This record gives sequence, structure tokens and C-alpha cells, in this order.
Amino acid sequence: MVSINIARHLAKTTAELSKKLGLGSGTTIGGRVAAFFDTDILSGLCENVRVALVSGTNGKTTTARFLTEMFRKAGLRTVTNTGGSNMVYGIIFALLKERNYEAAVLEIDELWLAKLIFQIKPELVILTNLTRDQLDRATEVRAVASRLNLAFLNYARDKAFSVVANSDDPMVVYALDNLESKSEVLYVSAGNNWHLDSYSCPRCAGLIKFENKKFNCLKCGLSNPNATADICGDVLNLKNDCVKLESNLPGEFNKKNLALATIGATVFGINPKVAIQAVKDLQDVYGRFKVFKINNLGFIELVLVKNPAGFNEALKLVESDSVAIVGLNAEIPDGKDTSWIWDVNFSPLHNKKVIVTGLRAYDLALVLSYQDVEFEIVRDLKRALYQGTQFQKAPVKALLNYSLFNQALKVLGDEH
Amino acid sequence: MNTESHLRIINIFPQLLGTYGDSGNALILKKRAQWFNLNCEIIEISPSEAVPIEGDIYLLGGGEDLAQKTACELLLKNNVLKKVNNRKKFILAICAGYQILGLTFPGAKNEKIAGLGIIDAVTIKGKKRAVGEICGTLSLDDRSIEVFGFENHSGLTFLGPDQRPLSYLKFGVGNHDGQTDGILTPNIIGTYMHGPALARNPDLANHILSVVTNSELRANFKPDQYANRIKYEILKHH
Repeated sequence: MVSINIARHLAKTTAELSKKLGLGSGTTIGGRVAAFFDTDILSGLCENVRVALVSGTNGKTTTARFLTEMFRKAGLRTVTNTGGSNMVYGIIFALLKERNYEAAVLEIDELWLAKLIFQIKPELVILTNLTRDQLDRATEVRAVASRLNLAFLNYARDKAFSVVANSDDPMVVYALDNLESKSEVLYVSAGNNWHLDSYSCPRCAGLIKFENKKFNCLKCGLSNPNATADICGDVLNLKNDCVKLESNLPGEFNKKNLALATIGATVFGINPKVAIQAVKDLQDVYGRFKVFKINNLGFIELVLVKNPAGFNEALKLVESDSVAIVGLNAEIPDGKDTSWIWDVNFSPLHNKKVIVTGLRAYDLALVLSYQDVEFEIVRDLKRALYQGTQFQKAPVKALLNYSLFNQALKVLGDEH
Repeated sequence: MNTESHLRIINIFPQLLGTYGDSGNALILKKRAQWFNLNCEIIEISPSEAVPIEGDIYLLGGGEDLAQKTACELLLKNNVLKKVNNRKKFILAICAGYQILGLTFPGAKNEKIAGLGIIDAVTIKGKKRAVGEICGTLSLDDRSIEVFGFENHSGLTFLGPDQRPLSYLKFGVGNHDGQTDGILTPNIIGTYMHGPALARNPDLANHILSVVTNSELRANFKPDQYANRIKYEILKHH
């Protein structure tokens, strides 16, 4: 076994070389090289570090960013992985790059979480939600939840840890099934607008009834567990207190992310009010929700959309007088199957100016045609972004999936 | 048609069988029916409701293993789909829904589950999941057409000797060996194609509407140009 310092040096050198050669950010190859020299490097890097993992289908990056800021403001020297490098090598490289940290906030892909939890040994896991996403890679949502459940139960035998999760998402509650007797589970009642993956109970295949925030399996009784906190409008109600969820980031979904991060911070002894103060001025998260000015034309706000549940929420951000640019690619990081856009309700785009873009713009054109949304096709992203600003009054909303979003950051000059 | 001026599209349990956009097939049929000047409505049947016999087109989508089993148990209660299996009505079944129509299919723990027995087909679990674009040709209403979609399944489906596949494949895995996909009978289409299948293949939508109205409905509409573009670009990469 090579020492961590040598692995670190080799990883950094490779990453720099990869970047210089224009092969990519170097994050993955750097992590890969380090892991080649030391197969258990992740355990070593996480030893004596207080780790918080953030996982789930949507909101990982934002929640992890919130939590990182909260930790740092509270004086914890905290390392984190940025911009969605959330699989094993990205995580290794993020930890290798820094030294002398006492805490880590790691965003982790939900498929990798079940594998890596035993090496990382987190003190806290935040699970945002679980919905259909990249089914060509993940196959079934409930299979993901089931794998997580097994991993959590096994890990709980080794180590006491805390979980923070949304009590209103049946798939999440199933992933934490039977865990409460072994570990601390802090539920936040954060609401749930996406039911399509859990009408059939993930635990017993019975039928689940949804009523307002409540769900109930008619067969096995799986239902909302007791929550330690709940969101009511802009307010997070705690047992003996309430705090205002103050944030510059738009949307109901970011309130949920903020609530989960805030409760997560309390596990590390941070007061909820202090936690929210730490992030209330945050303007964007690695380009997500960032408002860019294009020359003197106008403003564009970038929103990442990658699955139907997230897309439906993001469409609520398009104001009535705004222009929407909607973009779709089907490259490897996006998932190769575009069928999921048919699960999106595009009606918020009726009677608005819409531009569709991306390598799979025709897939969007097809679904929008059948949903009676009028649009214009501008396949080249750069042209679409510039064209969008010509009509605008309010900032143009650009709703893009993963690879297009990263391309937009480059076009607009803000690489992460 | 059952009534003179009203087409009923029965979307069966979209909450259970609707993985990745298959409910879009209902919308596509409704829109195209309207463009053909036909009155049409979509009736969504939730798992707590009985499937009505008064429908014209019955839709089953894809679904996860447990949801598929639940859906099949509910459908077996009065097996309305077996009763509607005649020339004036049509069943379109995708992926898990297609497997349900057969004699048996595998459950989450690889147990053998009895299907509705409407088609002579048996599905078993394959070792490797078939995931990717799929494209085949078929002869429909005396024309040869090309159909395409995205498949994502681990089931291997074997048709009985008297059953005709929907398409002969150019690429993809389809039923089990990369030779054929799906099934075609006078009033059933079963297929592994998502996309949704009818969005990418408007000829199939027209065929279904033609069968249930006992007329020839073959026109192209504006969205069909986008379906053609998608096909062109996908074929270019194969």
C-alpha cells in the first residue's frame, strides 16, 4: 500500500495533466489513479473526519452546498465535492485535494451510497427524495430504495449515525424502514408533489392512498412517520421553536433543501437560526439558479432539470411574462432514454414564448406539440441563449439537463 | 366504435403501469383522434377502480416488478381485457403490460406469475438487462414501415408458434434474441418500445384508430415531422 501522500501527489499530477490536455476536469481520472495505488484509500481519507453524506434524486448539490456553508460558518474546517462529482472517484479526488479538514460534506450518487457508506463511515446522512431518474442506468426506483435500506441497516450495526429525511416521500420512508430502532432518524415533513413512483407500496406492493401531505398503504400500513420538524410556507416549525427559511434561491424545492440542511446542521450542534443565517445570502449553487447577463441584451437564469419530478417543479419558476428556453441532450451523463419528458406536465408553458434547444430538441418538439405548447426550435445552445434574451422582460429561464447545463456554463463564462 | 361519435381510451392503472412516459400514448391517440375529427376522451382507471368493458382502446404501460404484479392481480379479478379481445376494440401493451397479456411472467424474486392469458407468450427473466434503442420493420395495412423506440427490460419473451411478432429487428434485443419485437394480432399490439411508442411511430397510432373506427385513417400531422427527425438521427448513429 502506498501512503496517502504519494497517492495524493500522483492523483494531482494526473488530474493536472488531464486538464492541460483538455480531456476533462481531471477529477475522475485523479481519483481513479489514487484508488489504483490504494484500493482502500477512501477509508483512510475519511478516518477521524466528521462526514455528512447528502443523497437522493433531486436537490443533492444544493443541500450539500447549504450544509457546507453552515459547517464553515460554525467554524468547522470542511471539505466538499463540488458541481456534481458525486461518484467514487470524484469523492476521492475532492478529499485528496484538501488537507487538514475536520469535517466533510459529500454529495453522493444514490446508487453509490449503498456501496460506499461502510468505507466513508458518515455521522450524518441526508436523504432528499427518491423518484424515477435515468432509468436506463438505475432501472427501478424501489430497487434503489431497497438497496439503501439494506445498507443503512447493516451500517447501523457498526456505527451510530443520524439520518435526516423527508417524511412525506414513501420511497424515502421505505429506504429507512426499521432503522428508527437502531439509529437516530430525524424526519422533516417537507411535502411531496410526486406520487407516480409510489402508488404501489415499495414495501408490500399494496396500494398507497395520498391525501394532502399524508400517504397510507392500505395493505401494510406504511405511512408518514412522526416528523421532528415541518415546513409551513416560509417557516420551519421545530419542536419548541420556529425559524424562517430565508433564501435567495427560488422555488419551493429549495425551501425543502434548506430545511433538510438546517436539521442536518443541528446534528452537528449548530443552532437552526445560525445555520440559516449562514446561507441566506447565497446567490447560486455552482451556476444553478445563477442569473447571467448576456452582453447588453438581458438576463438568463440557469436551472438544471434532469427528471420529471424536478422538471415539474422547475416549470413553476417560469413567470407569466418570461421566456423559457428548454433544452435536452441524451449523452451518457444525461441518460440515453428521453421518454421521461412525457411524464412532465408542460402546461405552465402555455401562451409563453418557448425556445427548444439541444441535441434532442426534436424530442421536446414532439411532446410540446402534443401538449399544445407553441415553440421555436433553435438547436444550437449558444444561439438559443442569445435569441431568448431578445424577447425578454423578466430574466429568461433556461431549463437544461445535465450536459447542456454544463455547456451553458461554459458559453456564459462560468465554469465550475 | 361502441357509440357512434365517441371514442373511449381506457388508460389502465397509469399509477402502476406508466414508467417513463407510456401514459403519453393516451394523449397521442386522443390528439390524433381529434385531428381526424373524432370525438374522444381518455378515461384513467386508478387501481381502486374496475376496468370498464365499454372502452374502445385499452392501454397498458411499463412498470416495476412489484407494480406489475399488483396490476396483474387487479386485472385478473374479472379479466375484462380477455372479454374485450375482439376486432372492434384494441389493446396496446408496453413492456411490463405486454408481459402481463401472456401466460406467465417472472416476479421480483423470479417467481412465476400467471398472466392474463390473452396472448400465447411466456416471459422469463434474462441474465442481462436489454437497454437501448431498438428499431424494426413490419408490414402494416400492406405497407412496410419502420418502427423504433427505447427498450429497457430484463424479461425474455417467447411467442407461441401461431403468434406473429410486431416487428423484425434491425437492432436492439426485443423479444429475446434480437430478431423480433412484440406481438401483432388483429386487435393487439404488444411491444418493448418506450418513447412513448406511438409518439415515435404515428403509423401505429393511425393503425389503432383505423381498427377501432373501422375506417382508413392514414394522414400525417405536424408532430410527425419531429418523429421522423428523431428516427433519422438515431438511425444515423447505428
